[in-house]
Amino acid sequence: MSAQPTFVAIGSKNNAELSLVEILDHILNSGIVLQGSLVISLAGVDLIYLGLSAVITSIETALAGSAKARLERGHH
Amino acid sequence: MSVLAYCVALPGSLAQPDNVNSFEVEGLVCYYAEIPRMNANATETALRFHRVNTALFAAAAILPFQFPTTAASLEELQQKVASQAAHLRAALQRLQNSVQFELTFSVTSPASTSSQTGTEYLRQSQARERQLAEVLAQVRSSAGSYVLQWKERERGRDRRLFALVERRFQQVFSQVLQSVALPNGVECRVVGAWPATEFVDQ
Repeated sequence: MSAQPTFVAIGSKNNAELSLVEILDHILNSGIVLQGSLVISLAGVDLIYLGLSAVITSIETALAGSAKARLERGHH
Repeated sequence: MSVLAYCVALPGSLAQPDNVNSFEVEGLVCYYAEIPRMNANATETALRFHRVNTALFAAAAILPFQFPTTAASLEELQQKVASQAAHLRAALQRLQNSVQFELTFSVTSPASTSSQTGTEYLRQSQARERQLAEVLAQVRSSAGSYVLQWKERERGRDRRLFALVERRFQQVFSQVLQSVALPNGVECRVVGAWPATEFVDQ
């Protein structure tokens, strides 16, 4: 049986694909950690968190833009 | 050039994904890729890491490494995996028919106003904690017959429940969760099925 990760909201029948933010949040915060000198690359993590910030910011910007557009349409 | 570790699995059950290498050590197969270095393509590398592990996990139990676990050389990775092989192999054998779901509960009631007193703030926090505890108990009770083990964690103001579920019950478990009625002001996001790494003693 397939075990493809999906998103489910309790109380709703909506299933959807995982967002980029959820995927990155998951792989950065879970998993086996090898002890010793193996490096969990800080530079890489920083870059991904920067990328996440960019994604979140772009979503917020898009939402703010659409809200503004709705308001403007409402005035005309 | 460094080596990015993807996951370990028990030998014999998984097809080799394209552009992914593997080695076998101490009764484990370790999947990895050689990468130039973690650079501006880190997000792309992370998504590939997710896709490869998802494809492997669709066929059998795996234990992914935390991203990005890298080694300077293949020999170094082999040594590190070998040093923990017994522990990882035992975990894979115990979890080979199980998957993990992650449930994040949040209170979405209106935020407190800035004019409130400290006492009011503490009372609201207590009420929020109580409400979340009741919801978690309700969910545990409703879906508990499909869950082999629960784990709970706090994450900021949210609560996270991890459910270990037999792979064959993952769809019915999702359906049961969707039938749970939450009180107004509480939301729950469920993501799964994932490899059951939360249930590996580290």
